[in-house]
Amino acid sequence: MRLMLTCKRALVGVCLLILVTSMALLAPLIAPHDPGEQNLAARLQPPAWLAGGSLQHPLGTDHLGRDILSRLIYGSRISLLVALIAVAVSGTIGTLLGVAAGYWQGRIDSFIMLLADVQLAFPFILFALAVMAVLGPGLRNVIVVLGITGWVAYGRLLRAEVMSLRAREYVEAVRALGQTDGKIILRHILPNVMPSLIVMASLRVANMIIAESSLTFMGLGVEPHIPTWGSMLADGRAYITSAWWLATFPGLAIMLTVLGVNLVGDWLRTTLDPRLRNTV
Amino acid sequence: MKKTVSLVACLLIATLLLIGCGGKQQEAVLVVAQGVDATMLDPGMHSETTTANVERQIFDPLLEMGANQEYEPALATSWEAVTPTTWEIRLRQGVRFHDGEELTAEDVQYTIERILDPSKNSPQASNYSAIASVEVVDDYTLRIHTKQPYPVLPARLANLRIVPKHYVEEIGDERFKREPVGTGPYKLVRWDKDEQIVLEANPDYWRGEPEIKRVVFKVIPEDASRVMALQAGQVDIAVNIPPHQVAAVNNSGKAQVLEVPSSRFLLIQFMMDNPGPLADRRVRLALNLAVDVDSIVENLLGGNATPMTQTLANLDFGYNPQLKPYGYDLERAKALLKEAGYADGFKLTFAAPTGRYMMDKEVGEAIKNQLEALGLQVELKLPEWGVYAEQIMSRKVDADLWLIGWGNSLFDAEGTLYTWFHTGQRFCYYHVDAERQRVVDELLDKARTNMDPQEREQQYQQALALIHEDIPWLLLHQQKDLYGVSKRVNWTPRSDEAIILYNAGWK
Repeated sequence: MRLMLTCKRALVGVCLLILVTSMALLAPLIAPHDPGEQNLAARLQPPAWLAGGSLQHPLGTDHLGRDILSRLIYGSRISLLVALIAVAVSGTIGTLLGVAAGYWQGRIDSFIMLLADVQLAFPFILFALAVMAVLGPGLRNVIVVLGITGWVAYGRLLRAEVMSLRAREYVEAVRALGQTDGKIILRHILPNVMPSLIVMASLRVANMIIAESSLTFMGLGVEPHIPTWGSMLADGRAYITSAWWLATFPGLAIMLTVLGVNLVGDWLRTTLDPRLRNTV
Repeated sequence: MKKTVSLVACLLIATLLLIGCGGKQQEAVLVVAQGVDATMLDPGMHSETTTANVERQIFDPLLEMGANQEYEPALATSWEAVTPTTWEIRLRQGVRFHDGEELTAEDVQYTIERILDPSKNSPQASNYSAIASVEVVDDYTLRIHTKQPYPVLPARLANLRIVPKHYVEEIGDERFKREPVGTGPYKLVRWDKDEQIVLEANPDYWRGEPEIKRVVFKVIPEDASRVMALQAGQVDIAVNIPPHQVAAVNNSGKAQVLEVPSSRFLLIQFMMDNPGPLADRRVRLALNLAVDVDSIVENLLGGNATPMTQTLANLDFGYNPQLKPYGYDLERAKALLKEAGYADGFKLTFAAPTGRYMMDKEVGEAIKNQLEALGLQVELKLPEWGVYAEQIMSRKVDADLWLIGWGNSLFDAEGTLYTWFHTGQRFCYYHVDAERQRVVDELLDKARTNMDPQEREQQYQQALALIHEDIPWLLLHQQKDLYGVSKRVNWTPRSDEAIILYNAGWK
């Protein structure tokens, strides 16, 4: 019953993700306008279904007369790009450190966990803000910051998993057969932590999308001339009482994408977790 | 997901707080909202409009610009050039500082000498550099000697607010910035940094006690928040209402927007210090022709500005009515670029402030776009205001084009042209051929020291025409200031952006 329910939800999630991904991939083909094209005379036009709107700009125009739909479509590229690369970077760092800590334990473990604790002591956004203030805003720096700050979640999870795995009989058996540490980790431990890693990564994608939007919203993220959901939200905030569509649509886009990622992530978790599978 | 929800919730709560907690206000408090806090309350050591608007409640100037652009007596009862280089000033008798001491000529002398003292490094020093010495004749009379005839001295004195010598010497400059004592209509009660400055009426004020007994200057950086506070009745005077919110304020029933033409204008300086495309007059003209100022004014600023016709505001003495804007003509601009050898365009960096002037970021983005239509590759930089202001003051702006606003409270060409176009001055990036430059320098020097107003005006108009030919700026627009004013207050905004409250009252 539970699986069926999550299946339905997952379907919604998959649809949302397909939508966003195809928006990102096909942006130049489907966007009705150049996202940077301004038309001052047509600024703050409402969406097509309201009085004063036109089909030329289905979701209306912003404060410089740029087409909101086109900017949303192009903005999806940045959100996905940043999220995927940041997850890949932080996932890799987290896996390396987590496995090392869990496998060798002892001093290595204490040191790595000390690093993790230090980093966790700072609220994430404060930490990211501080780093961005030093590095300066920019797309590359956003990815660097999110990539570096995100590893702790993976590190801690994998450390715990590896610790329990390495005490299993089959690991002891291969070790007794004289297998090297490297091969044990690669062949016998990593494949077994993969499900947790995938679930964690899928959940983190959502966090990264929000983090990128937040940083850009605060003016410390992606450069202003690149259309992103975060910067659209920030620009639109000043007009929230007179032209609600400027901030509402990028807000919805962030919400739906994050929802999609989370639904799929949930489904992955239930499917990959043997304990949950048995309860069906 | 959770984070999105909390983000949305936070925004909602913030909005509700702003709208909802207006509450009952004490009838006697007038609240003024500006975008940034004062940096100090010492009138001699800063040069910022927003700071001046707070400290001018605590201090008085010698004279004051009246409604008809004429100077009226304040602490001085008369001022007169007894020779072309000597001005005799008589002080009002019986004026007392907040600590009870009487104002004398020595305080005025001290105020001027303190600003000119190189060791104090006052940013206003260059404003008074024409002064050679200040001589105290008796307690209520002094003579100001200028190096050369200096006709705009009264205009300078209207911006000179007098500090008490005995008190500043006693507590020192640093404490004086935070614990000011003046002769003004209000006394400082409390200063919560970046939040509010509370003032109370001075019952012994020489003009009589102000009608409004308590004034609070609040810091509300966001345009939208200032408007909401105004609509909720939490604020009585709010500066810089964005044009697209004017209708909302007027419909709120609590407040209305008052508009006043401002002496402040926006310009883009061409970085002419270095060789490169911008050293070519044709390129500078092409850039001017490529920017559609009319459309920016009409659409972005809702008509709340006037396109500039020359490098001087139209309220200022010396303005040349013959000069016309360069106009908007993209085709001609492209042809000029081609003629100059840049048919394929070139790369430019363009810096603009955010949040300091009406819609400044939007104006910057629109101009970037229009320059790109000319075929240039433009990189837009939007530095934070504090950083940007510092770069401009120290001539270290890292851009080929940079946008800035210039307010000239003298209402005289001297306040703009000398600083921006006379060789060697702080903002002079005007480099053309040596002969032309010599002629302009000479005209500005002559006009600066000419006591004959008609001749002076002609000299400025001549200089303006020459500068106009050389195109040192990308001309933008002169602002109209929009103030949101509560319906319970009687107060009139001014062209020089000064907020004066001693004669404001309740309706």
